[in-house]
Amino acid sequence: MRKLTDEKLNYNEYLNYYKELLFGTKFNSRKNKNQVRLFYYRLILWDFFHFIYAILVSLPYLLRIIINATRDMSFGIFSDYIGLNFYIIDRMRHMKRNSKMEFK
Amino acid sequence: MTSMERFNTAVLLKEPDRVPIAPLMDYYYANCAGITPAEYVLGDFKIAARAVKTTYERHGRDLDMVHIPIGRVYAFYEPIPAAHSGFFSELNIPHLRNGSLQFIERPILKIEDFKNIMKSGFSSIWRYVSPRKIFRTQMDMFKIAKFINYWEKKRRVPVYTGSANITPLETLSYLCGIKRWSRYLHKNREELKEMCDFMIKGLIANDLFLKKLVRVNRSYICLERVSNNFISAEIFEDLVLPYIKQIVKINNKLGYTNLFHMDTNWGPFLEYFLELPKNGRYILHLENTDIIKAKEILGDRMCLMGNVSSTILSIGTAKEVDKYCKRIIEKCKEGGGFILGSGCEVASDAKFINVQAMINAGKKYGIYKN
Repeated sequence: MRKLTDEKLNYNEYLNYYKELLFGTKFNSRKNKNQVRLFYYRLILWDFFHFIYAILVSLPYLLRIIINATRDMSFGIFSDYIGLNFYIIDRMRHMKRNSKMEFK
Repeated sequence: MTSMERFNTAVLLKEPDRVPIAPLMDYYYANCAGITPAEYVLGDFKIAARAVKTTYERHGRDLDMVHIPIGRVYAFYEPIPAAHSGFFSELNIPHLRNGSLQFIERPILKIEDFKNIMKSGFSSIWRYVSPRKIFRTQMDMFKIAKFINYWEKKRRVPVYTGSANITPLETLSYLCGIKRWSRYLHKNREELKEMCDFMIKGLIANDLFLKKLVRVNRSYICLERVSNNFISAEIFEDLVLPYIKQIVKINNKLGYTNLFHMDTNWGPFLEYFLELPKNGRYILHLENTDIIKAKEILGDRMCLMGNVSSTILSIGTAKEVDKYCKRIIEKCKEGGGFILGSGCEVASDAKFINVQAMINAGKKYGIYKN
């Protein structure tokens, strides 16, 4: 079978035809373009906040994963030292959970 | 020969090892896999894709074509009226087996609205569709692309199509309703022509993007309400043929095969298809048209597909199906360019043994000597 080719086609032109069929000939007017732009700004802003929120919510879990992962790994002396700190923190939390003592 | 090779050889008007057996199915998949149309349309895409696979396996892997579960796409995502769509029509999704999705067609467009549509586009007459469902269906498009890749590249079974195009006049019949549309054809021809000119490039654009996304090299062109049963030859020449030529021209330029899905009777209009460029590849999927007459007129130019009646497959007997298939295969297979298919779509409640009888007949009578 003959291979498909789209070398000769200007897809941007066809995208405009498609937009015109969906939103009419006034779609490319200045006012409408600004409205569409506004929509995209709002979308990006919303996505950005959602992204930050997602990171904040998952941060404790991420830390937990890092702690668990670094526990048995060796990353060289300096990294091991940092990793050890994480390990110490984790041990402390572990102790707090399992002990009936009150920590101040 | 693989199904793909067999199918493509027939499209190139040559003789494969046997006649390809390619009944078009959609809701029959649901029925055959034992799920309801509601599960097929509303469930996860995997359920529908599994139904296709189950049907293919149950029929002994002898089907030379499969189809994507397209009803679910039309139901929740077709923002331009390139087909019946949930954006423009009310939906009825049956929860019983053996049914199919129904679009309740009501006239929503008047001739006075045409100017407004040109100014504000079809978004101005959208119905409300749940954004969640729209998003899900949009995501389904990637799954559809994967589905097509699985069947066409891995299993070498052609997929009927992945896109949809339509002539503008026909789409106006969906939106205006048959009664009003028929009146406009006689009284407001100029306005209809103007509207068709406005719509055609957008419809082609939608089709182009869909084809690029799903990567099927057959371009589906729906021809249902613009046949001899609905309009005169004069109207066809004025409001349909020029737009078909535009669609075909661009498909030929890009190397797509033009797949005309021709429901109802096209007998008196068949000769118009001789006007289409000779450099293209064509499949005429016929329903009620006399396929033997079509073979005489267009057999050396276009591949014919069809036309085992859905009625026979639903309420006939296996013997009747065998007899019917034998007759059309014997008359049409000579010289290649023939695919044994269903007239339009296999009905959702078609009997399994009848569809199997069709496949058996294709294997029995469709062998080429070379």
